[in-house]
Amino acid sequence: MNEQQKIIIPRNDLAIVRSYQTELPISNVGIGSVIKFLRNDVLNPNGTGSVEFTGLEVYTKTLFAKGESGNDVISDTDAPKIALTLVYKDVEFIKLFPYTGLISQANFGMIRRLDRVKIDLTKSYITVLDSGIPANTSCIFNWFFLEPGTAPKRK
Amino acid sequence: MAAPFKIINLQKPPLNNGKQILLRFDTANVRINTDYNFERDQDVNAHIITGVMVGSYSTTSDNFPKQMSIGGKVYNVIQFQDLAKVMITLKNKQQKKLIINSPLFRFNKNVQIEIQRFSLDLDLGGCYIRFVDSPLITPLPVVIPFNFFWD
Repeated sequence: MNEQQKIIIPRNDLAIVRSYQTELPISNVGIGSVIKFLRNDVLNPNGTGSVEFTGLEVYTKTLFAKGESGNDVISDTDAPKIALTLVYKDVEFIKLFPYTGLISQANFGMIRRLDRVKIDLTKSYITVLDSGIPANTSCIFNWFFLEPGTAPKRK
Repeated sequence: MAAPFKIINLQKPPLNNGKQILLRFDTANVRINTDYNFERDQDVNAHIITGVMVGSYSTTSDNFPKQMSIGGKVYNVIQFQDLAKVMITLKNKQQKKLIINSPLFRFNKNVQIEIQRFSLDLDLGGCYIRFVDSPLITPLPVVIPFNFFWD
């Protein structure tokens, strides 16, 4: 009898140490509009520093109803119309990443991991790729991070 | 005939200890943009929390029952769809916000498939949830069941 073969799959889950939700209102829903993130003192301390990002996920209205501003979160139908670009030191190291690619529920619940990268949020942006997004709609980003020089407190 | 494959997930850390913490809402109206704090818990506070799970009721899963009896009173377990209306902030003992406004779905096992892993030195009494939308589909009184795990 053949010995049972084994496939070993390492887990890809992220142990969360810090997280911060940001809301990005889609201020201009026109095709091609670029909307930059606002300055955030937690994620970009002193306006120029950066925490080390370990993961990112986004939400649609099905999973998170409203932003703190009261805006509706972008719908499942409109989420494919958004792409994300992340910038650090003027390098667009993540370019036009589909918003839907960051929805963890579409990724077996896994958070899209980042390798302790730094991000200039005020230079990073979303791009509106198609029409039909209602006014007063927001994208929701849940950033996972470590403060520079720290390591997760796990065994 | 080839033997079937066996999949081994070696890196799955165990959840050795845990405690259920219940957030109950008895009032006639749940107010949005209002912080609802957890009660302080010495067990949760005494450990580095390695996993957090929030339960919900859904007709399509067996995560939690529809109702729970607590202290002789029957509470309706928050329904799956209502988790979209809640976000959570967790603080450590220095009252520093570690997890800020995280949508509660992040903590639901049915979304994550597995229990979400954390590494948190919490002061549970400083932690709170906030509703971002109303009304709830779940009839009042409502209970939101959390499980906190540690090694």
